[in-house]
Amino acid sequence: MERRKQKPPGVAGGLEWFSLPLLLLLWQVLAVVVDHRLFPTPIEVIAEVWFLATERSLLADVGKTLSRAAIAFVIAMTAGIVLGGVFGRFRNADRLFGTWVLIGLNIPAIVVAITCYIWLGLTEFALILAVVINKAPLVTVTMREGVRALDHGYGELARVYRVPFWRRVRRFIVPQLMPYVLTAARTGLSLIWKIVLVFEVLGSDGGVGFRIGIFFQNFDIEGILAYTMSFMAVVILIEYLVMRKLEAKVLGWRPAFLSA
Amino acid sequence: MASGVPVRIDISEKRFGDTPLFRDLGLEIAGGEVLALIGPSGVGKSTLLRMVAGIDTDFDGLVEVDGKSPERAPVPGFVFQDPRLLPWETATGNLRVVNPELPVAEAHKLLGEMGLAGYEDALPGQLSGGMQRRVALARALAVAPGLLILDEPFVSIDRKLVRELSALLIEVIERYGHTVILVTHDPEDAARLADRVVVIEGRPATVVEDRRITLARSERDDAMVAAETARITGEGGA
Repeated sequence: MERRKQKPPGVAGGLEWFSLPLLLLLWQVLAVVVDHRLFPTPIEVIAEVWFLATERSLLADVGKTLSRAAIAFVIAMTAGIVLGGVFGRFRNADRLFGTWVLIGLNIPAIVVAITCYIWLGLTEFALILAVVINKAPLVTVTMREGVRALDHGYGELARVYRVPFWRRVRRFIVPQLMPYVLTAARTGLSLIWKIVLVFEVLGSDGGVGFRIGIFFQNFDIEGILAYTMSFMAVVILIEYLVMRKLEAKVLGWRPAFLSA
Repeated sequence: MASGVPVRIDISEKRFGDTPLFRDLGLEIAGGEVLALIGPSGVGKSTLLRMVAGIDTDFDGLVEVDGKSPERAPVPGFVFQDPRLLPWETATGNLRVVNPELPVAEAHKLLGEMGLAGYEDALPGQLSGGMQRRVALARALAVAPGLLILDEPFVSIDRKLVRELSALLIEVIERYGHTVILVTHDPEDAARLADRVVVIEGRPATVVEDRRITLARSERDDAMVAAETARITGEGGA
């Protein structure tokens, strides 16, 4: 008897580390070739990031946008997980409210934002509510599929061994749903910050979107790219320091991880 | 560890839709007896096991395990056709998820008895198919059952592995003295393992043969198993 062997990581695993430098190099080359004031090099943009962070309000703006995105993310994920669980588990609830979810999925984000602003004013609450309304249906649909895909065999196993309800939830159901939760979280993060930025352009008193709107009016491409790069850096940090570690922790048992 | 408990099955009727699966089906299984249940696919063998395990209660009649209804009787050890291990739990975790009171040392001991010493912290995905089935058997023993239910435990595995697992199962039966209900489609498994072989056929299913094998398991050689298999399949003399 022998435990299945795991493949060594190899050179392919290290390729990921070249990805970002390669992108920056490509950008640098293109900027040098194009040689236009509206196409700055990454070095110029990084210098602008430093200037905006030390002399202007970049850090405060990024913080403001991040906090809005974080609050909307937590609310949208919580609501989506609960609703998706209910719709996946109870067919009648899904039949009754499935169309609502479909509408929520397809209604343009800009319409939701404008409507919320008109009804509730240009407030923090309106912005976050609009983001939640846009994001929650996507989480709901993902989680509904997750609940529908729960393995009945494990349910039977739990019934045979009379596993109590909460232990069943914790040890049998949650691990099966975690891939769906992480998928919803990852797509959620990418979608939410984009929506938050658009809504900040439409109406807010600060934040990355608000500032990019001002840069746009002045045709300040370096400022736009500096803010974008800063936020990208935050997103990449979240991906590598939070999402990947979380993924490895809760999905480490999956064949893709075992053989990685 | 609990010793084998008696099982009484007296089903008036069990239906799937309009079709009766069982009607007036009765079986008494003594404590510590190893009963092999044989029959063609779809006859209702697995359904009967689920009724004995207490997860199918939609029938008229009576099933008693140790004098109690299955839901009130102690939890049985149940081995499914597939290992059905939780892939996110280690081998030890798979035992303790059905019985959290089982001390870790005891779980390790059980895994060791199944030939899995050194694999206590392995995930199912890191184990071979045969090892996964051993963990499934250890999990069934983890609840200290008086009744061990085996639903086609050797299906879809090669004969070499069947031999290995049969030998392991014989050790378990001799060591713990559980009552065992073994569903199998292979009369050879029944001839090797069982004290009693019950063949059911038809719809509604009826017992068409109920025979005892008196020879001790340890004394059953290949020739005896082959002869007994032939008798069960009706190809040999009675």
